[in-house]
Amino acid sequence: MRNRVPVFICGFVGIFMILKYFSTYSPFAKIAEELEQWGMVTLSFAIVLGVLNLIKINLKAVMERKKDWGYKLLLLVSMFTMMIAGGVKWYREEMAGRATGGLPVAIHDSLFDFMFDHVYFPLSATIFALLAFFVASAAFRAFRAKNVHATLLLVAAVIVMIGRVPIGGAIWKGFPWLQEWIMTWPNTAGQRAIQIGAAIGMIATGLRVIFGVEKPYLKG
Amino acid sequence: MTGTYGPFMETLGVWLVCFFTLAVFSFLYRDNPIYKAVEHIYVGVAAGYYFYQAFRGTIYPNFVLHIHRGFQAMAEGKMDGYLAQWRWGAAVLGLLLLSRLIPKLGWLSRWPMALVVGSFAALNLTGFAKANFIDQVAGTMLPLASAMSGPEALPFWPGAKAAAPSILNNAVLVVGVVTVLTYFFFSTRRAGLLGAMGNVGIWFVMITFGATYGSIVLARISLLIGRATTLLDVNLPKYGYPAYFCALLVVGCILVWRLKFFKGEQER
Repeated sequence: MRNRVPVFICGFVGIFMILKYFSTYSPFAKIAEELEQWGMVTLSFAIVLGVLNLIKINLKAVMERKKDWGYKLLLLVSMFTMMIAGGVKWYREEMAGRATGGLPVAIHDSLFDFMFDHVYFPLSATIFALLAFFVASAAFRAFRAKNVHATLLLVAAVIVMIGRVPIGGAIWKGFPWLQEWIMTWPNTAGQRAIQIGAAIGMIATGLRVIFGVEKPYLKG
Repeated sequence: MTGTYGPFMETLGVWLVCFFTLAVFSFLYRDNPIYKAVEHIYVGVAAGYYFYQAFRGTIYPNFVLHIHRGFQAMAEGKMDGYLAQWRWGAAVLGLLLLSRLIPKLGWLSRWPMALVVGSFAALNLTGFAKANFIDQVAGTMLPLASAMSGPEALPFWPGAKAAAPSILNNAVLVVGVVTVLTYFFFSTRRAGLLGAMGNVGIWFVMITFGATYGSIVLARISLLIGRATTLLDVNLPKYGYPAYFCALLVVGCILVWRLKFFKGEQER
């Protein structure tokens, strides 16, 4: 019950969806489509599970006044504010939709949109922008022409970086051409070979999971 | 950013954008309370956002609405309405996933996990096989002996196009793909011809990694310029120069923390 049922579910769903890909029989397609929807709905519940877990852990820390409980309180407040704001936006849109006879209505001046535009987006973009400093400092360590391979890495990176900014073309007209050539031909060759290798690995792992050789869902 | 929320909310929004942007950049000094606070706010807002998206984007349309329409169809005597009720199974499995929060019943969450893993393994398997394997192999089957497409394909020719296909460029692509695949082939000892091909392959791998790294550096710097441009664009007298004041606030808070509350590494 604990081990065999999950292996059966995984195998059945997996084999069915692979067969659907190769079959034109319409009931197959309908059942596979329904199973796909089941997967999507179940996966959404995984987000609900994650949020509930976040609440459980942080609420416990706040109640017990553990270390850094103030930050955890901030996390909970911002999370509930966003959730409530989302609920209000949803309600307003539903009501406006009913007023227009069921047509979908999008509201853009809600607190939810305000928080997305002025809290979530700037924080997200700045955290990614912050990586520029760390990527640049990592470059100092990685870009050392110790041998032929390291030199190739250094030269390719420098040409791509210089060739893509206006000053590169001002220094030498060949830089933009060279960077485009590197990106189109040798880089595509390397990326393509890595993609083919990854696809073979993905196919092998997928088959191992579907046929029950590997059972990652039984962990935990 | 302008015109949607009204003057007060617009000004508040501009101040929030400046504060959050500068607070995140304060991490460049070191991990400090201001950064920790906005980091936790970010996690909270992101969790709330994805929770809303999960309900609004998937659970509501794909389950609640689907079942509701099924009931309507049943009332009209249509067979489709009964078939739509199968979707309850997805909700039951979804609820079983929540059993992970109760240690004694945690094993029940394996059933929905098996469904998700099985369906996405199959979807990815067929998707990867088509897009990342068959299409990539087909894309590498390029002519190596046909006539040159034109003088513009020659390197450094006046008016040369770097991305134009030619015998030379096609050969670079084919040789690159084959040699890199040889480099990653670990099932036999790499010696002789295989060893030589593997050595060429690693050159291509290094060029690829270098080019990718260069692109990543530029992408991140582009984001950084974007944030700096945002700060400059909104730092206007009509908003009360929010970037200057927020910078002072963040630096002031860090100074107070550093002088009053900071404990050195050894003391900690």
